[in-house]
Amino acid sequence: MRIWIEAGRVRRFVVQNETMIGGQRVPVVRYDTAHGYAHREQMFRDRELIKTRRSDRLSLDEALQFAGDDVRRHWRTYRRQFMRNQP
Amino acid sequence: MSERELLPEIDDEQAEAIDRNLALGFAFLRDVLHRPEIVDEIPSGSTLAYRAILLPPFELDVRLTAFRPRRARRWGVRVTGVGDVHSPPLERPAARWLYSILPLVENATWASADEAFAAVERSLKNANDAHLLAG
Repeated sequence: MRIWIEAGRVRRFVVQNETMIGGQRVPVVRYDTAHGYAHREQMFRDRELIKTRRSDRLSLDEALQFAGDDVRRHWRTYRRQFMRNQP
Repeated sequence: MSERELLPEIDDEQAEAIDRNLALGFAFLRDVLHRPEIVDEIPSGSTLAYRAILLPPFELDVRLTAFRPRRARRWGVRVTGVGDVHSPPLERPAARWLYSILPLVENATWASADEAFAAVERSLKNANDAHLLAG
């Protein structure tokens, strides 16, 4: 994860879930709050990532809650889909 | 290469560890959102590890974050959260207990994150024993 803090406040975070595949650490899904809105990037072994924009109105707290729930519930699925190249 | 060759199976124990680490990682991020100053003493780019332990007499979760700065070999540790993120400041006795371990926490380094966590747990246990001895 990466956290950007300005003037004592969190302005942005990136949460990336990785897995070990073939001896290498690879990103599987990433939540990013850049540009003032939250989006999810889902990665695959052999095709372009899929970027999904979340609501503009999510606060950092809400975006974090959403990302946390999603990754905790679905990390197995993201890992499997990475390998199958299918969302 | 087939999927089976590349995607190693994860057993139940590993899956539980991943679930636990994800929960603690997001708890850390939530703590930082509410109190950004807790990262002031964690150098940017550090490798982080998380552990939640119980503050013995108060039934409170204490969230610890161990950190190893980039290019460093040793780990430091900080208390980054206590109880629920939105809960009010600690009651005085609980605060006194927790703050009794801070000199250890703030001034020492360890060879591994596990050693750092174990040192904090030991320190809390010692504080608990001292409290019981004092009646």
